[in-house]
Amino acid sequence: MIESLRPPGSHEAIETDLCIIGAGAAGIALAREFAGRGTRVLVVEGGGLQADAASQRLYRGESAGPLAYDLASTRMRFFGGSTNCWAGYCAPLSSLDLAPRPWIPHSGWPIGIDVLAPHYPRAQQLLDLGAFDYTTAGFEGEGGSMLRFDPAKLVNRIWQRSPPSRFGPKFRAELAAAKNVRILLDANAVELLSDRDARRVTGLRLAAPDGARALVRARGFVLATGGIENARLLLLSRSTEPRGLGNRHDLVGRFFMEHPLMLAATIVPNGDAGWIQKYADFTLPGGGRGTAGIGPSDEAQRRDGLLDAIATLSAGQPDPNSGSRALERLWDALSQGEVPEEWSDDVLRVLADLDDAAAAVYHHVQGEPHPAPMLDDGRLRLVVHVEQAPDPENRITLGEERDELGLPRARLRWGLGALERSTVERVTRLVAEEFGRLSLGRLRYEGWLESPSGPWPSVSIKCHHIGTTRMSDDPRRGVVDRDCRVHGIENLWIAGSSVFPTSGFANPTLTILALTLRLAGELRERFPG
Amino acid sequence: MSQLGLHRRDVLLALGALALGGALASGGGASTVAASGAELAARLRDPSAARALGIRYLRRHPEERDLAFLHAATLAGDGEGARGVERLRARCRDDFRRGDTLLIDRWVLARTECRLCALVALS
Repeated sequence: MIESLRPPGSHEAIETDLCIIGAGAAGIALAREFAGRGTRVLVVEGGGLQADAASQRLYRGESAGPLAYDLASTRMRFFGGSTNCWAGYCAPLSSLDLAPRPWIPHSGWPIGIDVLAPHYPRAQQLLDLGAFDYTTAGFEGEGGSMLRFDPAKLVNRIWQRSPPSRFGPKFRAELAAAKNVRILLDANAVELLSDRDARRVTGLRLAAPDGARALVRARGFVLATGGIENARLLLLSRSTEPRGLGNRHDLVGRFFMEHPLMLAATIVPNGDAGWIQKYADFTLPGGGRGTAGIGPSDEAQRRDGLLDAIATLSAGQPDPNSGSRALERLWDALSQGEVPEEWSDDVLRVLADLDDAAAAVYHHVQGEPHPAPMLDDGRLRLVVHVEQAPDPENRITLGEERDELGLPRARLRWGLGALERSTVERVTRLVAEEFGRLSLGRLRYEGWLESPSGPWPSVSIKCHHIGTTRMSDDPRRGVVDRDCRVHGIENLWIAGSSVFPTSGFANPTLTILALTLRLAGELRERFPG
Repeated sequence: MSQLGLHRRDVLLALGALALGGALASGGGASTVAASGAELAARLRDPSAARALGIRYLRRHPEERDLAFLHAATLAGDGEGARGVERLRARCRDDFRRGDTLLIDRWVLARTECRLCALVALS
């Protein structure tokens, strides 16, 4: 059953067995695991079935620097969550990604890859991917061969690309038909209530902007609202814990991580570099699409003290006069409240190249990368996508501004540190050395990379919100335990990338689902119905 | 011609035949990359790019401001023509393999390439 928190001014009391807060990838996947069983499941979703500007405004927040971050445009607030706009790139974490890495402070998961591995194949199915095979076999089988790097330095890596699966339309009918699952839309979670000792969640307050209210009583609650809202809702739940539920050790909201990427170098290739086309797009053995990149080997990461990373190559450079680039400049300036330089020229460029500008808007809405027109200058551009080191100062807190429901908006402090910079530099150097050894060409650093400190260049992000309720066996070091249960609270769990202590290079959706499927097994035993 | 009988033209031709030549040749503008060694060598008739890199290298390694040393470390024993160029290429590949590289003017160069540029600067 799918319904809305209505009518305006109503006040409903709801009783259920399990309340899942959030209908994104994790929330929907978890609800499906209970469909058709005896357990009564309520899924509450702040948005509706379609994108809505008023609802999306509730995601606005404050960016406290040092790098600017738009909290509203990096996630989607309606049924299906950010699967409504994701690009579909999938890869699992590696064993090293999960291990304690002495050169990376605060690294190390309490679980190993052996715990995640059994759940990855089913996560693949949810995302319409093929076999759980991230070796380079598919690439090689297509008739080409990958670059033969020195394994002490670099390795080839694979993303499998989901179509991409949109969980809202994909699973809506199935969940609507499940008699034991109720989906409540337009129901914004505003506070988790707990008993006097904050050892058990007793209820969840819901609110709609039109004044409708509800109170949910459940035996168990799962927070699955994404890496920003998961932390925010805990911080907003202050009735019994002044610093927020689950926040006795001041960890909720800390260790926010993204997947930043930046142009690191230009490569002058020796002769034809047509091989990079196949790295960008190739056929997987099962028929799906794959993309390959180049990353530091485990040996290199250990030896050189690196974060995980992956480098991608593209030919030529974006045409600065294209409609999409002009529109991007206009948008960037206007969203910062500035009058763009040469705005009239850029307006003319947009009008003169309206097809490209319109296509860019379409791809942005669809969450797909826009193939911007390129100028062929015979060179390759090396972009390094780097894992971010967990830093407690990168954090979500409650801001000064209030949203339309009267709640403090999220405030994000986000920046990059020395380890990200040294990793990008070292990976670039390793690529240069291997391209030289293989006689593929010569590499020239971007100017910013020459200096070990100094301002960052234009940093792109992947809209991944990671780490704000991190996992640890020690309550002083993590918000949730290895089973994703909030430390000290017997009936509250968290699903999503907010529980990741570190992120590797891999886009998080596949691991979010693997962890969710694992959690589902645990919850089915606790709430058999 | 130097005391070693070293022609700058020969060094430039050697550089041009290496992959570095492609990088230098297109480093100053938006020209497309040359594919053949001959074309690269032709572009390097103006040795200013190689010379500038060589000067930077020698600033960083003043102990190598020695034609005899640089010649011995690069061209000596490599023979003439294609055989010599192939040996130079192998030497550069080995530099890259061992990570014996330098960052000069933001280019990541093999030690041998830097020394060839230094020869250009001194010869």
